[in-house]
This record gives sequence, C-alpha cells and structure tokens, in this order.
Amino acid sequence: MVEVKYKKEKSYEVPYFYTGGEYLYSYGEISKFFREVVENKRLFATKCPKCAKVWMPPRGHCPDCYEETQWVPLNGNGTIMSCTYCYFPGMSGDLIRFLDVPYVCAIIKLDGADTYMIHGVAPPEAKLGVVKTGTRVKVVFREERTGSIADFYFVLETSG
Amino acid sequence: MRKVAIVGIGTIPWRSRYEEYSWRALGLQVTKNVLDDAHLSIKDIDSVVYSIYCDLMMRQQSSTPLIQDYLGMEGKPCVRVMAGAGGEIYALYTAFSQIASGMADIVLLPAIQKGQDWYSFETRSRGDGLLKGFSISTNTTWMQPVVPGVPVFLTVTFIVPHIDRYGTPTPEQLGKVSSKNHKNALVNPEAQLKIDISPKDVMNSRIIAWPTTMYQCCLYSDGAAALILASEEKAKEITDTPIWISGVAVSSYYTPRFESDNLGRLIAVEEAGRRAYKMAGIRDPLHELDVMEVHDLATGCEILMYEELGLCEPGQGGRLIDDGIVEKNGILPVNPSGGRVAAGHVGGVSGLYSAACVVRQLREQAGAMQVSVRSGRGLVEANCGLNGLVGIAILERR
Repeated sequence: MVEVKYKKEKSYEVPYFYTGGEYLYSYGEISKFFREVVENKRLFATKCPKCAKVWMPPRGHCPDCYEETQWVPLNGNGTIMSCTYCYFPGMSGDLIRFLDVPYVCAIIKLDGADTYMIHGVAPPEAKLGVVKTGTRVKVVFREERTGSIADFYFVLETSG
Repeated sequence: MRKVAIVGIGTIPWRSRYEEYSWRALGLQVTKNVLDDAHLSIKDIDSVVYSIYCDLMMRQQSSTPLIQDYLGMEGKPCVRVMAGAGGEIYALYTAFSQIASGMADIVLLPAIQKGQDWYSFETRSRGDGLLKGFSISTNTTWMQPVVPGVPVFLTVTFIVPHIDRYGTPTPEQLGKVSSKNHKNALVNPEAQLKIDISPKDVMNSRIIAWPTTMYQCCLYSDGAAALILASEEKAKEITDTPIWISGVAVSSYYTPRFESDNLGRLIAVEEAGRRAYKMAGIRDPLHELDVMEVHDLATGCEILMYEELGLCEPGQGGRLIDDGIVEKNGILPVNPSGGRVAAGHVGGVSGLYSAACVVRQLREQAGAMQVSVRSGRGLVEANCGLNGLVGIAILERR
C-alpha cells in the first residue's frame, strides 16, 4: 500500500458561499396538493383512472400505466406502518426544528390511499413505545404554511 | 461478450479530512497508485470512467473536464457516473461494458470524493455543514423537510419493519455486527476509525433513531480509490493474477413509493444479487464465496443484506452473527476491512475501495485482514440507501 505523502506547507482555508441555491420553484402538475394545504388545510392524493391505485405522495402520472391521475381528497387520518423515535435533529428538517426531539419519523398509510407517505408524528410524551406500528394518527396543519410538506404533521388520533 | 479483469488497484487511507490535498490531487494520488500496481503508464489507458458522487460538495459542478486535465488525459474518452453511494459499482458496470463490448481494452476507474469541505457557519461545524448540504440529495419535495438524515430513513424504512415482521435484528445482534466491523478495522492500516468496542458499547452509544445508535451509523470522509480494468487478452499480458469480474449487476428500487411489500426489504439488493450470481454461476453463495464487502450505512442494513443476498432464509440474518458465520474467522467473513462504520465512507468511493479490498483478499495480500481463500470468489456490494441504487460485483481468481 502506498502512503499519501503530506506536503510540508500548512493548508490555507477560505470561506465560500454558494449563491446558486436560491429558487423560485414551480410544483408543476402537483401544485394542487400544496395549494390545498396552504389555502384549505386539506390533503389530496392522486388516483389512476385506469388501475384505480391511489398514490400518496401524489404524482401527476401513474408509473405503472402512464395515465394522468385525478385528484381525490383524503380525510387526513391514517395508520402507522413503521416508525422510529428519532433523537437526532439533523440540519435539513424544518419540521424537526418545529417539533423538537424526540420526534417520531413514521411511514403512514393515509385512509383512502394505497401507498404510504414518510412524515413526522409529534409523540404525546418522550417515552418510547406510545407511538408504534398500527397506531392511528390524524393530520394537524401549522399556523404558518409556506407550500411545503412541513406545513403539516401528525398526532395521535385520540389526542384532543 | 469479452471477459474483463481487474489488473490494478490503488487506494489511500480513509481520513475524515484531507485538508492538504484538493480533490484533484487525491485523484492523481490513487491514479499513480493504481498505475504502479498494474505496472502501466497513463499512455496505456484507452478510456476513463469516473465515479464522482457530488462535485458540489467539493465546491465545483461539471468536474469531469477539470480532473481529465489534472490527470493528463486529454483526448481520452471519459464518462462520469453518478448514482449516489451505489455509483461506484454503476461505474464498474460501465467500465465493464466498454471492455466487454470491445469499445476499449484498458479502462481507468478513479473514484474521488471529499465529504468534508462543507461547513456550517451557524453552528461552526463541518458535520452540520455536510448534513445541511447533503440533504439536497434526498427527495426535496417529499422528504427533505421531514427526514433528518440517512440513518433515520434506513431505520424507519428497512430496519423497523423487519423487526416488526421477524423480531430481529435485536439490539444485541446489531451490537455484535457493529463491534465485529470496528474490531476488523483495528488491523486495517487504511481505516479511519480504530476503536475496540464491544456490543454493549455499541448499544450504549448515543441513540439516533431507535434501534440505531451512533456506532451503528457509517462514517463520512474524504477518500479516493482507483481500479484498472482490462480485456482478457490485455490482462494476461499485464499480470499473473488478474481478478476476473465474473458477475456484475445493478438495480434500483422505488422511493418514495412505499407499499407493504417493499417495507423492510432491500429489494434492489436481492434483484442485483440474483442477476450477478446467475452471471457468475453461483448457486450457494454461503459456501461458494470466500469474502463479502457490503455497504453497512446502518448496521441493521448489513443484517438485512445477509438475507437479501441469499445467505439464509428471510428473517434469519441475525443467526449469522450469533453463530459467528460472518466473523473474520467464520465460514463467510463480511466486511473484514471494517465496513462503512469503521473503515470510512463517502458516496462514490466506498464500493471501489471495497472492490480493492476483495482483490487484495483474493490475491492473498490482505495482511492482518486476510481471510481464508478457498473458492477464490468474493462479492462487493454498494448501495445508495436514499435513492435506492444498488450495484453488486462478483470477483474471481482462477
């Protein structure tokens, strides 16, 4: 194995800010989902007219049939298919900063949808195990909504 | 289809940061190393395939022309392959295809990535800068705001549903696999992290997302590695111990399409594995392979991989660590280099590093990491957990 031979001079470091990361982004064919979240506090899924599969998260075309999908409203309740109590906030999740840790990252089957969505559940307490596979949840919309999946989150269906 | 062999390997030690080297210089270092190993010069190379996962991490985009220039490769065809942390085997598959089809005879395959130039001025931390910048690799519409990182995603999508279904992996089994890899790294001169930890130390380390603890998560590094591939005719001129690529396959699985049949399953690993085994003529991998190097981005995924790669029945993966089968002195050692939790990891490089490790094992040049070579075959697996891209190669010494 050949070792890396280190140069004797000390390296020189500079800050650099990448400015190309600002967007005015269009959601295109899934715009309705975010408009309904912001304006009407309602969740929508998409249904394939050919195979009748209901996709969540929504998508403009069924990947199996290539048909354009139609919008279907959901009641916002669902069942947890898998979840984990997460103690690590990371640096990406706006929702996690809002909810704080521990936060339950969960895969949720919303009533009326055939595929599942990955999202966040606010546990009623920090103790492990209250939120688990099979737990029923319902959607809660945040006061400030900006057209992002972090505009809502989930809590136990039984919570007030 | 012509036969293809690996005739040279070039690696450098894994470090969390190489501040004294730019990414181009790291690329040149491993290129020098691999040319030395193969006793070739840069003029002998017909074509270059780069495995570079995220040049934005290295303060650059469209990096291929820069590295072509730095390596003195002007005029030579070059392809840059990007497939997350599965990209390295996708790159191997690409280089393989060029030779198998006759488009090239000798292909250089450098993998380069610096994971730690990003920095968060808000928290004054490189790790935080990496997590923030890296999050754009996740699904920015449906995942970025709600998933704090790869280990959480792997835990909720694969590990927890598997535990729901089979009751394993247990925290003890996770502790044993992570401890195995950390212990293996102690004798790897290139490993980034050398700590002797017990399964209990693993279980008691900082909890990330239950049951995943800190020592079950992969490292992140600056790294580079390179291979040289050659056609059968050239390989026999270049070396006495060509290591043949007797099987190679790539696959992908859907995200964010979650359904009951893909939760808890690494379907693309099974799919690529099946095709690679078929190409290499392998029926019973547990007894026909001498060594495996796989991507343990989270330790639980390594255990799931034992099942997906056909070493045992579904749900029985934990037994392989309980019975010592995958330990360095077991029937089929997995990750004798230390794996991603202890040797080092950065997308685009790890799989080629794993391939170099398997080549060393098959050449019986692995020093203190050497496993027993009986059938002369090893398996390399690379996967990008987030985006579902998987590559598997079977290497063979005849």
